[in-house]
Amino acid sequence: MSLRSRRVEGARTAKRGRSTFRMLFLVGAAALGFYLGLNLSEERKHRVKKLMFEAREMPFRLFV
Amino acid sequence: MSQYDYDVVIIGSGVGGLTCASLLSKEGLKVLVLEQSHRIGGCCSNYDHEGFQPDVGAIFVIAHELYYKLFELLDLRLEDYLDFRILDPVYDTILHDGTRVTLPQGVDEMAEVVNQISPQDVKGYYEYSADMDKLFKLTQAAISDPLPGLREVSKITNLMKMGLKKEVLPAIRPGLFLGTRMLDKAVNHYFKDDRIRLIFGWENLYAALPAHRCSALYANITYMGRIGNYYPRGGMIAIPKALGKIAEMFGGEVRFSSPVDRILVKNGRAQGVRLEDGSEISAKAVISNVHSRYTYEDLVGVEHLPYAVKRAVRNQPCSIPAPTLYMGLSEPLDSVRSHMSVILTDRRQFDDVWVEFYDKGLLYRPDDGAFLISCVSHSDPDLAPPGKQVLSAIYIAPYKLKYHQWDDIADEWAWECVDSMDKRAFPGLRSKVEWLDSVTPVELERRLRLPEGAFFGLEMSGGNMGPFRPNYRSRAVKGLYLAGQCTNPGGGVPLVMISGIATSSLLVNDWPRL
Ligand SMILES: Cc1cc2nc3c(=O)[nH]c(=O)nc-3n(C[C@H](O)[C@H](O)[C@H](O)COP(=O)(O)OP(=O)(O)OC[C@H]3O[C@@H](n4cnc5c(N)ncnc54)[C@H](O)[C@@H]3O)c2cc1C
Repeated sequence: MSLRSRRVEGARTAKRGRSTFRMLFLVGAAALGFYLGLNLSEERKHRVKKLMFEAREMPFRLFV
Repeated sequence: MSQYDYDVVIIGSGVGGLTCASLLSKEGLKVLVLEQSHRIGGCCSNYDHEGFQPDVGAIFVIAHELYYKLFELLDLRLEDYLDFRILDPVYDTILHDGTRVTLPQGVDEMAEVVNQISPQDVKGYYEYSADMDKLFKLTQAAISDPLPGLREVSKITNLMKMGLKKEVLPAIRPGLFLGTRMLDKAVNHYFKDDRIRLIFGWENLYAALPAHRCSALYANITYMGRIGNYYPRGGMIAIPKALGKIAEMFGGEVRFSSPVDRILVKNGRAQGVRLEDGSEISAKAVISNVHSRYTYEDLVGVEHLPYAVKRAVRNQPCSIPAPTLYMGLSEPLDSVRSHMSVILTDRRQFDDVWVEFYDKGLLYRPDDGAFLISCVSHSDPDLAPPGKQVLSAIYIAPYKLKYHQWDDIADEWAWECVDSMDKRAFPGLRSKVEWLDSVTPVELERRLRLPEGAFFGLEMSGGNMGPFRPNYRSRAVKGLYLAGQCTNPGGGVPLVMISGIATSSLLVNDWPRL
């Protein structure tokens, strides 16, 4: 294998590694979020839902 | 001659609409106010049932200095139109454990009450008062200079001049402390005893938000009672009546029983209004003093709105409703000791009402709820027939009930509430009630055309204030302006006056280009 193709292969592996890591991180964060979400009291869940709703809607309010 | 019937048509005779009417008439514009009801004032008005005249909504004057500022802009003396009397005691407070205290007006007098209930909290009380005083002094300083004319009042240079005062420095620390916390946390910081915490914490009701979602800056409301709350002779309706009279004195017109059905919009521009009887009135500018959702969805019509505006007005949350019971009593109760009384539950239960009941659309047992009672005839005996008394009781309850329809249960619920107040604070109340009017959230919505019967129009939380609250000058329809509790700085009579001043100032500046 030429030096160039080995470098390309190396870069590809590193890229794959990085994207696997990113994927793992996202899955981990989602699992942690899900776990914390499950453990939240109903009241907290309600507050989080309300906050998320507000964050989604606030930008539209700037146009009224 | 103008091509329009009027320069400005104002929809609604709430305090916001009438502030605009008086200021703009004074500027020489031809102004018409259209009110759907036969009475002036909207939420700041009263009913009259055979001489019993309870207030519809607003029950006392807070921040009366701001009322004087409006009269200053009008070049008039407030005393010539309104007779404000101080409320002292501020509240008769009835706690869940039977403790009953009247809360006096002065700072030191209040310290004695705190000392009676929880001596360990006196130090925290003085710390609290010192912090509030710094903020109060800043607002006082900001409005101490004479206002420039209406045209200049909303200009950034004037606003900066108002804000740049030496009182800013001492106010920074308490301002930052309160501005970055919710009310429940701030109250816990100053006070240790749960009863004192509740006495200083329940007034989040006036922000129409639970304490855990209400900015700690509202802690100032309790302090304002120490500075002085007032009540006008003739009831709260005296305020809109005075503004209506001033508008008419400057050439404006106020028409009652004239519901507006539509704002006429042509080529993206407001051109006037159509009334429910089909008649049309043209105007160069339209000011809507009604709820923003109702203004845009029903009066303007969704066909004139871009997607973002349609979505924003549909999804912007209304503030909580303020259902109220009105009671005419055959004779006065001695146990009514103050213009305002408040019956509280324990602190946990008070919070639970929001979380366990309000959010879920459930009705609690009245014994588990709090009531804010006002007795207008205590301050002004003319507001009840001779030898009788009139009371109103505001409580927290959701607009939509999960298992009931308000109309089906209004009366039964009202009598249960009367029984609860009879048991907890006013023995003999039930037997003296000769008139009972149960105004549920849906009934308030019907009477005032106020979506969801919302106390302050829109929620007063961070995501619904400042740039996120509807603009004074509509961004969607040219020539359309909004004034009232759905705009900044929000609900409450003095705040609605500020909104009216800001809208009028913008409009007179826009006038040559309209
Ligand atoms: C129960 C309760 C207690 C309160 N307590 C206090 C208090 O103690 N102190 C305080 O400062 N504030 C208090 N407030 C808040 C204060 O009363 C309001 O924020 C303020 O009065 C709102 O004024 P506004 O100008 O926004 O409009 P509103 O008072 O809402 O007036 C709008 C007007 O528009 C009219 N209208 C509606 N639709 C139409 C139509 N299609 N055509 C023509 N007219 C129409 C309505 O009839 C109404 O008269 C209280 C409110 C409530 C409900």
